[in-house]
Amino acid sequence: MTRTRLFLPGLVLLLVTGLLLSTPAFVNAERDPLAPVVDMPSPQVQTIPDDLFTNEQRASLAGVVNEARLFGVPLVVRVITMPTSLQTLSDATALTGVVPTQQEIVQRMAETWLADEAVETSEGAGDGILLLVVVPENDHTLSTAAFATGPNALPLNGLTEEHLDRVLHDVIYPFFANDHIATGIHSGVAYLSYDNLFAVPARHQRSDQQQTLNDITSIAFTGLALIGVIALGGLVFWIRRRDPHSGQEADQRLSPFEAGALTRGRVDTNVITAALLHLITIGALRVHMQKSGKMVLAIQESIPVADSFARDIMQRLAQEAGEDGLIQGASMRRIQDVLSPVGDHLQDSLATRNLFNRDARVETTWVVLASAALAAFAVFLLMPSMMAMSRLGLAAMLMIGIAVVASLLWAARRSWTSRVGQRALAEWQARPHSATDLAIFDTIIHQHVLIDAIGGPDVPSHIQITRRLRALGAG
Amino acid sequence: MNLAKLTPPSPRVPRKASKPSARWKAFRHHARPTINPVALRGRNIEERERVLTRRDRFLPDILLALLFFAISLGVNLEALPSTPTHPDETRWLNRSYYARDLIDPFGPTWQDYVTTRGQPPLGSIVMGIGLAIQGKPLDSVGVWDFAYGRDWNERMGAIPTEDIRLAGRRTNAVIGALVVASAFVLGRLLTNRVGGSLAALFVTFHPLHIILSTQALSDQTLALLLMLIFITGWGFAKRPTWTRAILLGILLGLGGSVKLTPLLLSIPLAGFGMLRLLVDRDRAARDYAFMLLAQPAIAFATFVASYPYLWPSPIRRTWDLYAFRASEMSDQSAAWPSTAVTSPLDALGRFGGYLTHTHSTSARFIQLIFDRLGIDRVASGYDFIPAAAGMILLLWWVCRFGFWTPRAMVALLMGAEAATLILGMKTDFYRYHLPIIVIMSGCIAVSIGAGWTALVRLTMHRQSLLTSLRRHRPHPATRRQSTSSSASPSPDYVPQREASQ
Repeated sequence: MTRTRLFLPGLVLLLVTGLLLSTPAFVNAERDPLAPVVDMPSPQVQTIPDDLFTNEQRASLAGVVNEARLFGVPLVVRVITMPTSLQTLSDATALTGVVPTQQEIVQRMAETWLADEAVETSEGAGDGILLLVVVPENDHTLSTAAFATGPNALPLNGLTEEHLDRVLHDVIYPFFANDHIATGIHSGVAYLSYDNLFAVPARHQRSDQQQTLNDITSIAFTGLALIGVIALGGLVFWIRRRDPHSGQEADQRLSPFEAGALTRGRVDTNVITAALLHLITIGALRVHMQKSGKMVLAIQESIPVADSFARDIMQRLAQEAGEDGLIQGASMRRIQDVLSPVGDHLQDSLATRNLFNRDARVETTWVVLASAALAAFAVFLLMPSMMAMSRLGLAAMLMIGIAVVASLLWAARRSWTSRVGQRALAEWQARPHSATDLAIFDTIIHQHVLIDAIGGPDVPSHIQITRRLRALGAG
Repeated sequence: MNLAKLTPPSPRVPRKASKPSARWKAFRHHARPTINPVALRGRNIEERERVLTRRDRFLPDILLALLFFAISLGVNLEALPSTPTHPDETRWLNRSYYARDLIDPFGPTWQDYVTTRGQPPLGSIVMGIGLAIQGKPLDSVGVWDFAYGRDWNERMGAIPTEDIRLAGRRTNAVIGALVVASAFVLGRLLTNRVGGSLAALFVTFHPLHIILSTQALSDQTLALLLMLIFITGWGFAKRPTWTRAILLGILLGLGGSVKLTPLLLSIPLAGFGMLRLLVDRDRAARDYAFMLLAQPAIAFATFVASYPYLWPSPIRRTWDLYAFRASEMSDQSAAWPSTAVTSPLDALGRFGGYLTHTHSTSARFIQLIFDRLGIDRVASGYDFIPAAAGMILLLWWVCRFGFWTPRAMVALLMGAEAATLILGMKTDFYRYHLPIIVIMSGCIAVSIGAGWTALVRLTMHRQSLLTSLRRHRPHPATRRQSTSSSASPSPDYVPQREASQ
C-alpha cells in the first residue's frame, strides 16, 4: 500500500521534472542582454589628444558610459581632433567625383576604428558599440559623431539603429552646435542608456521558415482545430438529444433515496451520506465522539431498517464493524469508499429499471476521450504557434481550451436520469409522502446546508457529523 | 428528519441537566446550530428550493458587503486629491498600454528588456483597464528613471498630467474598496457578521490602506487577489472540487502576475496535499490531496499565460524575473541603507513598529480622541493585540477541528503569505506592509467575531438563568396563591412561549 501511495506523487514529480528540463530554459545559453558588462577590457573613454577634456569631464563621461555598461551596453567613446574641418575634406574629395558627406566620412572612420579595436563582451562576440566623435581644431561647432556597431550588437533591449540615429541628431548635435562637446556626449550616452532600458524594442520579424510555418498554422491547423471543436460540440449535442428508452413506462415505486438520486442525477456522496444520517436519526447507528476528537459509529442491530438501500448500507457497515459493533479507524476514515459498492448497486438497479441512462458511462467516456484528443491537439499546436508567432494558432488553442473545459464540465455535471426517470420522479413528487421520506429527500438535495460551517466560532454538531461522513474535515 | 437528533452525546456534556448550573455547562459545551434545519414546506420541490435559496441566505451579507464597499470608496475618493504624489505611480501609469497590447502577444511590448523584466504585468493591465474605462490614453506617460532627478524625468515625459494621475488613482480607489468588501466576506466566513464588519472597518480606516488606495500603484490589486485567494481557499476546503481547485490555482497565478509572491503560496499548498496523501487513505482525501498537489502547475500555467513575455522560455524568464526583483531590492537597500532589512527578525520588527506607531487604525482613532480632548500626545496603535488574539484563536480552532477544514486552509494561506513576506523582504518600503494588513484583518475578524459570540451566549444564558430562577422562586404572594395547585412544575419544564429564549 505504501508503495502504491508513493507511486503517484513520485510520478507527478517525475513528470514535473521532465517538463522543467524539456523547456528551453536550459538550452538557451546566450548572453543576458541586461547583464552588466563593466569588466570589458576596452577603456570607457579615450581622447586624442589626452587633454581634450578636463579631468572632471573625463570622469563624468566615464561614469555615464559605465552606467550604460551596467545594463548590458558594451559601449566605448572615442574622441579625436583633426587639424581641419571634415567639411573641407569632403569638399576636396568632391573634386574627384565622389561626394561623401561629413557624416559618411566619420561613419567610415568609426567602422574602421571598431574593426581595429576589439570592442566586445567576449572574443568574437561582435557586439560592441563605438561612439566616435571627430572634433575639428579650428571650429568645434563643426564636430561630427557616428555610432559603429558590431554585427551582433543590435537590436539590444530597447536600442535599434533608429534610436542611435535619434540620439545623434536630436541630442548630441544640438550641444555640438553650441560648442558643448563633453556635455553633448554625456547627454547622448545618457539618452542611449534610457532607450536601452525603457524604449520598446523593435518587433521581431518572421524568417522565411517562420512565415511558412505561420501560413500552415494559421490555415491548416486552425482549420483542423475548428473542425475538432465542431465535432466535439456535435458529439455533446447528439448525446444530449439521445435517450434510447424514452418510450418505456415509468416504474413508479421509488424510495426517497431513489427519488433523491434521480434528482441529483447520480448516486453520489449526497445519497450515501443521507442514508447514514437517516440511520443515525432512527437510532440504527449511534455516534460516539472519542476524547481524541475522532468520531466512531456504533451499529445497533436491534433497530429495524425499512428501506432496502439503508439496509444494504447497514449490512456493508456490519462487515466493517468489529465484534463490539464499532466502526472506527481506517473504516471510519474511508467510509465513503467502503460504501461506494452499495451506491454502485443502487445506480445499477436504477439503470436496469431504465430510470438512469444505461449508456451514460459509455457516453461520458466518449466525451472524455474526444476532449482529451482535442486537448492533445491543442498542446501540439502550441509549438508551431509559438515558433511562427501565430496569433491565429493561439486563438485556435484558446477556442479548443474553452470547448474542452465546457464539454468536460458538462460531462461531469450532466444528469444521468433518463426521461423515464424524470417521469417517475415527477409522479413521486406528486404523491403524498411521510415526513421521514421527505426529510430523507431534502437531506439529499439540500445537503449543502449541512456542510456549510459558516457563522460563529463553533461548528454545530450536525455539521461536524455530516462533514466527517463526507471526509471533509470537522468544520 | 429532525436534525436536532443528530447531535451526538458528548462525553463532556451531562445528559440530564436538571439544575441550572448543569444546564449552563451543557449550554457552554453544546454548539448551537447557526443555521435553520431543512424546512419541510409542502411536497412541491420548488417550494422547498425557495426555502433555501442562496439569495435568502446571503442577501444580508451581500448588502453589508456593498455597504462597506460604498463606505470605503467614499473614504478613498475623499482622500484622493490630498495624497502625496509618489514617483512610483508613473511606472504603473506608464505600463498601462499592456492592457491594449495583450491582443498582440508576439509584439514588441512583450520582448525581453528591463520594463518586462522589472515587474509582472497584471497591476499595469488593471491600471490600463481603469484608464480605458475612464476614456484616458494608455501611453501618455514615460518611464521614471530613479537614477535621475525630476528635471530629467520631466524632459523624458515621465511625469503624468493631473488628469491621468487622478484617473489612475480612482482606479485604485475602486480596487481598495473591493478589498474592504472582501475583508468583510472573509471575516464573515471565519466567524460572523460582527467579525466581518469589524474587519471591514479596520481595513477601511487604516491609514496605509487609504494611502495605497489613493495612489496609482498595484499593491491594492495584490491585496484584492490575496483576499480572493483566502476566500477561495475557504471555499475549496469547504467542498473540494476540481472547479474550485482550478479557481484557486488561477487566483494564485494571477496573484503572482501582480507581485510574484502569491505564486509561492502554491508550494505549501502542494506540501499540504502531500501530507494528506500520506496520512489519509479515503478516496475523498486522495482527491483533495491531488487537487492541492496540482496547485503549483495550475498557478504557474496561469502565471505564464497571463504574461506573453514568458512564453518563449517560461522557466528561465520567470527565474530572471525573480532574480531581477532580488537584485533590485539589493540595489534599493544599498541606495537607502535605512530601509535595508537585515534578517527575518528585523522584518518582523519593522512590520510591528510600522503598523503600531506609523500607520494604525486604532492609533488614528485614539489620536482623534486626544485631539478632541486637547491632550497633547501622539497615540500608538493597538491593532496587533486583537490580531494576535485572533491568530492564536485560529490556531486553536485548527488544532481542535483538524487540518482539513476551511479554517485550517485559511490559516495555512495566511501563514504562508506572512512567512513569504517576512523571509523575502530585503527592503522596507511602506507599500510592502499592505498584505500584512490584509492578514491582520482576518485575524481581527476571528477575535472580534468569537468574542461577540461568547458575549451573546453569556448574555442570553444569564437571561435564561434569571428567568428560570424567577420561575422556581416565585413571589411569596404568588406562592401563597399556588399552594392549592396540584404540583409545582418540573425543573426541566420550559413553557413553549419561552422556548425561543
